[in-house]
Amino acid sequence: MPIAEQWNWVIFAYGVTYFTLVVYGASVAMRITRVRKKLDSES
Amino acid sequence: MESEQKTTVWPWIVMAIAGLQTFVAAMTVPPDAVQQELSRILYVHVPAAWLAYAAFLFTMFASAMYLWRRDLKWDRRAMASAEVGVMFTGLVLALGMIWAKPTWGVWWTWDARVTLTAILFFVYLGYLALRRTTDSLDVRAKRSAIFGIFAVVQIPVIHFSVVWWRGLHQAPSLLKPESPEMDTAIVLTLLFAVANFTAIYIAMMFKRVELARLEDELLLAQQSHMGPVAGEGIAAPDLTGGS
Repeated sequence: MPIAEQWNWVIFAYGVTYFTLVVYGASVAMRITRVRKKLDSES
Repeated sequence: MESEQKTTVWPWIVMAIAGLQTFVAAMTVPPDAVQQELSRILYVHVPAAWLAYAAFLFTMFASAMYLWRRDLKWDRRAMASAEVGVMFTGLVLALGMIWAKPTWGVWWTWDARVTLTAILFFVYLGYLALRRTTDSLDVRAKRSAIFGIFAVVQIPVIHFSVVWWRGLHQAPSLLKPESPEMDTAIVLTLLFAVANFTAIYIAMMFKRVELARLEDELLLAQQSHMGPVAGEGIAAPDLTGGS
């Protein structure tokens, strides 16, 4: 397999990895913000 | 009810630094002699697999601690680790498929390790689903603790599946009794990536446990506003005629 094509697979793998980590981290951050708001409205 | 504890920022900083360090190390290490540039997928695939194991082992430990101490903080830690573990298991499956296509020629094969890892993913999705079956914090914690202890039996089976059954997935290169058959630069970069991903896991755990604590506070606050239900809401009739 040509080197350039190998790099495409590598970039794809790292793209999937960092996209997953960022999306999961963002989902936790958003859920924290939403629950804090709900807790404030409960008070 | 306002949560007393303030949110922490340091886990986000740790995640960003660890992610960047892994990327720089993986892109600058010399390529493998056989797999060439494709070998760079190793530095995210193996750490993700390690954390899938580690996260579910911690879930088992925290579940056992809950059953021993009956403290809900251990239940929250078990759940947080399971959710982060599901994310890493999904990631290791996706990365395995991306690596399989250019090396094995297929996206998916019913190899023992690959299939068992997919089963592991769905079993822990089941763990997370089980937690949604009741609003009682104690009942939820007890059910999921028992599940979390028994489900971990899959991990040694997955790890040794490449030794016990013949398949496409390679045998262990690092975690085996003999010395590793890998170049020192590759081993060191891999260990560095594993350490960085472990730091990402720990930082994510802090944030996910913070979220779980807030969710429990909210659930208790909502339950305290509810009126009595079923029989508790019905007063006995006054048959004395008011005398």
